Amino acid sequence: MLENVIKREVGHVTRVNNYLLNIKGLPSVRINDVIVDGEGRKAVVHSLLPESIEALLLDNRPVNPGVEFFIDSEGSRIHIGDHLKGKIVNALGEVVSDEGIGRRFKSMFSQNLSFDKKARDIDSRDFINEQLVTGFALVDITLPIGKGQRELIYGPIHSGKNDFLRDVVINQKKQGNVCIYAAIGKPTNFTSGLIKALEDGDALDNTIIVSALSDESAPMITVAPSTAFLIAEHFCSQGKDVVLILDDLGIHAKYVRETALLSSQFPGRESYPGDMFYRHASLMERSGSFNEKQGNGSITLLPVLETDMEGFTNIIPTNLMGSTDGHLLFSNEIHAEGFKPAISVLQSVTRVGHMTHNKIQRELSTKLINILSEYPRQQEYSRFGTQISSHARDVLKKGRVINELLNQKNVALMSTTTQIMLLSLVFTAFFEPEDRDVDFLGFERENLVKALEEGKTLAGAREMTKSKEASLFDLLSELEKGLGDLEIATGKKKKTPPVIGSGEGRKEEQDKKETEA
Amino acid sequence: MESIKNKELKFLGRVKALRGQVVQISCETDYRPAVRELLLAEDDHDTHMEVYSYSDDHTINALLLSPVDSVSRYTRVVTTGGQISIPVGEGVLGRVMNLYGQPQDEKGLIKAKALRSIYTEADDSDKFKASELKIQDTGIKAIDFFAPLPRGGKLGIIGGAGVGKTVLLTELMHNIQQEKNTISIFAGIGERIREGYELWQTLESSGLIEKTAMIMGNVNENAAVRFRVAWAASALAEHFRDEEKKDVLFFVDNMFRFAQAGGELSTLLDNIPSEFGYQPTLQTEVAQFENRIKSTANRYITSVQTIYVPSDELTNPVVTTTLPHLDAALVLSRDVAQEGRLPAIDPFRSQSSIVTKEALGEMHYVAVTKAVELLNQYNRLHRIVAIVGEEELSLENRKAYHRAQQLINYMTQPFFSAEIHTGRKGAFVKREDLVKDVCDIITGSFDDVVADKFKFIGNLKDAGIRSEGK
Repeated sequence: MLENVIKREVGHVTRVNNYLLNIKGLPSVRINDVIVDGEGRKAVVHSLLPESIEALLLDNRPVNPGVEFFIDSEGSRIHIGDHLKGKIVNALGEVVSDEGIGRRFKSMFSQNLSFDKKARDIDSRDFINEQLVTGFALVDITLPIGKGQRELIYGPIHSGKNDFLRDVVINQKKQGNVCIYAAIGKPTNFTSGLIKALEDGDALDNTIIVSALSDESAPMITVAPSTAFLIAEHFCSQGKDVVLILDDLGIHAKYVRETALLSSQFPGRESYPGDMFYRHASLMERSGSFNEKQGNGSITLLPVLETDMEGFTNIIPTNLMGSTDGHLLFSNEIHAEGFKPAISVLQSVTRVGHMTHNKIQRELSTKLINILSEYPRQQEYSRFGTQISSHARDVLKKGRVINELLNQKNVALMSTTTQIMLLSLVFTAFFEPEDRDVDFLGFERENLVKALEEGKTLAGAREMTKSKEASLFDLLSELEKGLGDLEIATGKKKKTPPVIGSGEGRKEEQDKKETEA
Repeated sequence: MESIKNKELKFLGRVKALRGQVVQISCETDYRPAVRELLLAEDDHDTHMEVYSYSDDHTINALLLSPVDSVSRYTRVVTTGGQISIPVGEGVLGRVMNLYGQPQDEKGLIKAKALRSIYTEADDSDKFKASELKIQDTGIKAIDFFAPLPRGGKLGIIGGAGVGKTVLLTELMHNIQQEKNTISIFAGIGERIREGYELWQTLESSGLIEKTAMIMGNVNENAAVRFRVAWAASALAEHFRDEEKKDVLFFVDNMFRFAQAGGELSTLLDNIPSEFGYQPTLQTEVAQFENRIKSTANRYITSVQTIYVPSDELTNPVVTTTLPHLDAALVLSRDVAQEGRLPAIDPFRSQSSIVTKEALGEMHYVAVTKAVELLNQYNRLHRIVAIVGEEELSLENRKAYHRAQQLINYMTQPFFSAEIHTGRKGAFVKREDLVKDVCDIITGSFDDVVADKFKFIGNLKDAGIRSEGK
């Protein structure tokens, strides 16, 4: 360890307050440099004072006055590459999972471990014009997320955020997108649960987990997001589409506040440091869609914020909403109704996602949102027992069916084509008969999806969902041609179950398991 | 940066300490730089520092405008002898630059006529002269009708996160006809890089960039830089107004972020915070900026400013401090946005100082009064309808309810700048058509038309609702 240090310069600890160290010496260090002592305890330089420096200890082992610190040239580097996939790294980018512990992979790409890297400017950017497919129709159609978008995942505890995020990660593997999951200040059992879920979904080897759990020192947790970004930026510069999850920034803010107050920084609103907005916003600016010069990659950011519903107006939620490109609002109530993903469509926002939609998706999305926003109102009115107009009846039925179709509680993640076909069907004659309602879908959903995906007469419609110019009207007329197939597929209530063991059947079973996991 | 590098650089002293963005420099020569003088690191001229104060006769407190890891203790510091300056003149039009006038658009060096300090004090000898009142048409129905903008005045677009401020600003940049002898300046303060990129590209593809200069201090820049971008943009506006005798359209996105950057700086400098943690100097800072971008007796600076409202609290100190400087205030409402009505304007809270008979003319003025009355009535009726249904209203009320719905829908509008998002063609509506349409809706000329038909249209004639010759 010691051969990596610059031996000329040394500093002596003169004061210790929790993880805040005052060190005399080390004349040439800069802020954010990593320094190390003989025991391998690291610290990051926080400010330069006339007589000493202040550093934050990145270790749980206490340090006594008199201990010598050196500039750690090796510790200030991070090694990034494919070897990190499937591994857990700590906030300094060191592999900490099983066989990787303590090992350094020197042959790999290595760069400065910079904790305050500036986001690339407008001359590096590109339009967000490709969709990040999550596999959830509710998101992909009504609240689409573009590659390079920053979509806040926001909601109270136990509202299904974790499940959702894990499924999103699992769904990226097929599409060749790299995922980086940063667990920030989470309880110590969080990472093991995450790994199990990703293993079950066969997506662990496509994911890098940056783990800075609550048992680590506060400074470690505060630097974790920027390390996660360094890793994301590496893959992005190789032209990859990267999905980065920062879970969770609310906790991160609390640790930032803790270190700021401890180092006697002036408290601002809610005692957070005055530049709290900047710290998060400038960090999140590092994601985006990048141009050819930068390798044509993208970093889609899903920052998570766990809070109670009343917490809307607190400083951190306000800040994060004001610096992301939209938010998905998760709700306890919707979750309790057994709905997955438990997102409140009307209270969620996506600012750029619709740019990634083709004409059909865009028209379908508008139609769905219109019905979903009128549906609760009509439900309310219908309770008063006034005569229901045919329009109201229509909205009520469509609203029910759409909600049922968007619920993917026990349903596999869907491809874009299937999503479009299935939801467009609501506007065809297929759902006109009285009995084609929620109950019907309970029995026949799988058959319906299968027929939509495989029915010969629907090949034209499937092709059309990918078209840029076709309108929803075109698609609906194309769908009408294949309704015969759908009638046959769903007509018989007692249908022979799919043959277990046949290739297709098994695949479906597996998909289903993935979702449940 | 050529210009600065070519200047005489004098050795000044060395860095003694660095805490946050505040760097202490110990002078080693007899020279004492003035406050606001621009200093550089001797070995890296991209490391900028600006003198802020003195703690004793040889210790300077300067603001580090560059990343915190760009200096160490004992870094040698030189002075430029000047202040932060930006290039001015025709050469900046069509360009995107940062605080120091460095190009951000890969179009090569900016050809400047001269450099102007961002702190230049403009001549304000005619500050007590009034200019002639004209209305600046925007082609956006809800603005021109409820909160019209006087030429040379200031329009604020006020709203919480995600209610459509930036989209509206972009549309205004598109719509406000660039007349001869008019140029546009866009100051991007503390907003997203993505939005800056999209705006830049939109202006490039529409060709509007040719008469526009963009100065960007996005949120990836530190507070000192973001705050100063406002000064840089106003210096540029003053140059075009005073030296080149041009009218200026001045766009700011976002005023709140400007004040916020000032607040961050204030905490970094250990100033005691004021209410809600804002800086004690909020009032002064906002006023200084607003007063720089004003019209003179001969030349107009018409400005449009977005103002973000944290947590939708209109009582926020930044909002209340900025409001008195505005001639027209457009308040966007989350409820309206959630109903999908865009632009999401709240007609009750939006206002303009020129909603007077003299400025707008009898017809428009009366129409505004009647429209607000009708919308008030609608709000009352709406609660009843929600419970017992529209059928239970009296005939008279039902008519009013229907007309109000038409009016509300009519105030939505397809935007040119949102065509790629919505697929709807944009529309520009002339004020005379607008006033006529509203009057006819209120008086019931279209009672037989369903209200939905009024959604996202331009004027009634183009939408086919008003028949030929009517």
